[in-house]
Amino acid sequence: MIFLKVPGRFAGAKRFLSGFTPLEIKRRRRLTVARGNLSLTGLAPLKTIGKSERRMMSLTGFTLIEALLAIGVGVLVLTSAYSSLRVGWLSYRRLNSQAHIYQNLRNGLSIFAKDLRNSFLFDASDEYPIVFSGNSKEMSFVSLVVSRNEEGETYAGAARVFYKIEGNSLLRAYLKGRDMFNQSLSPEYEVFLSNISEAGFLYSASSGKSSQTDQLNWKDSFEDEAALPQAVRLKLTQKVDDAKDIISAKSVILKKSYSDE
Amino acid sequence: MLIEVLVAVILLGFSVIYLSRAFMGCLNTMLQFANYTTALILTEEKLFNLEIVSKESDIAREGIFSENADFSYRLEVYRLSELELNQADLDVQWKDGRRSGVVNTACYFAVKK
Repeated sequence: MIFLKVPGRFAGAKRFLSGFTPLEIKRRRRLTVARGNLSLTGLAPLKTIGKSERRMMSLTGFTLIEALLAIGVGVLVLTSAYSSLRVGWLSYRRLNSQAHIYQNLRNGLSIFAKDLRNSFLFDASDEYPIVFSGNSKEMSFVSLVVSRNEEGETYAGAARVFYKIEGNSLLRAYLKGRDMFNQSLSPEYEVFLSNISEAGFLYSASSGKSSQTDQLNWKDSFEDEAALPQAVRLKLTQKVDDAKDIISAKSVILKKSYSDE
Repeated sequence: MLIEVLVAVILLGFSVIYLSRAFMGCLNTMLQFANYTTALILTEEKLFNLEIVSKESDIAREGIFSENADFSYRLEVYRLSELELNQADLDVQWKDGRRSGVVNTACYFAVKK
């Protein structure tokens, strides 16, 4: 802060007009010391500086060095702020996509488990056999599927449910009502889970008539006209951008696993 | 004036610090959500294994999940004397940097003879 020698009652007011230029204090001292040798004053013009001019110089604001310093510090602060913001933004995007994948995965596995737990042996005539059939990439079975009627009421109706792994997606479809007996009708698949890099179904056939589950023996395929599998497992690996792959498995014990029940 | 500049800088500094802390908190919450969801999926799979295991001695009491090595589990099984039931307390734990998390689950399953 520069204190100007202004006599009388305006002295205090003049002080507030002088601004904050700490480097000028040093320059003012150098000006005082080096009378007659003004080249020492850096940016000062090579002429005699009077008292009124020196007073004006104290009101000029920032010097070049101060401005450069301020710009340098500002650039440093902005660079560090931008880099941290960028890192944060990238982390946010990565975690957000990861969170969406986890949420979809959990919802999908829940629906998958519900479909399998509601599955049953369809006791149709031999003309329309609908059995639980599956291999490592697709399966179909009869289950209860919740639907809405024209009045908007929900109801559970029998439907033939299809699951298929194709490309990097797990697809699901179902045929309701009389459509499920039509062998020539192909279902309209919808993407159930996406970003899948590896997936497969495993089946465990029941080994006895006991109501107690035994140690499971997983196989790649299942086809039995008289029984449902004892359990079904879906193993899948999902890709996430810039993060570890998500490896998950869902195993479901089917409600009616035994043909004699 | 110097004081004005200092006050402005301090206010700006505090706002930047609190904004960045809020942002980091948001990121941590999302990470915890992802870990928690993974733990729930692994817990369900572990409970399935408990359901199908035929002998109580075959149940592994602690270990690391093969699907995700960042997650481990600890299992304690008690016999409920008056009932033909076992109680299983399952803790699925994970560690992510300095933070750690746990999902506690208790379930009951029939005593296998």
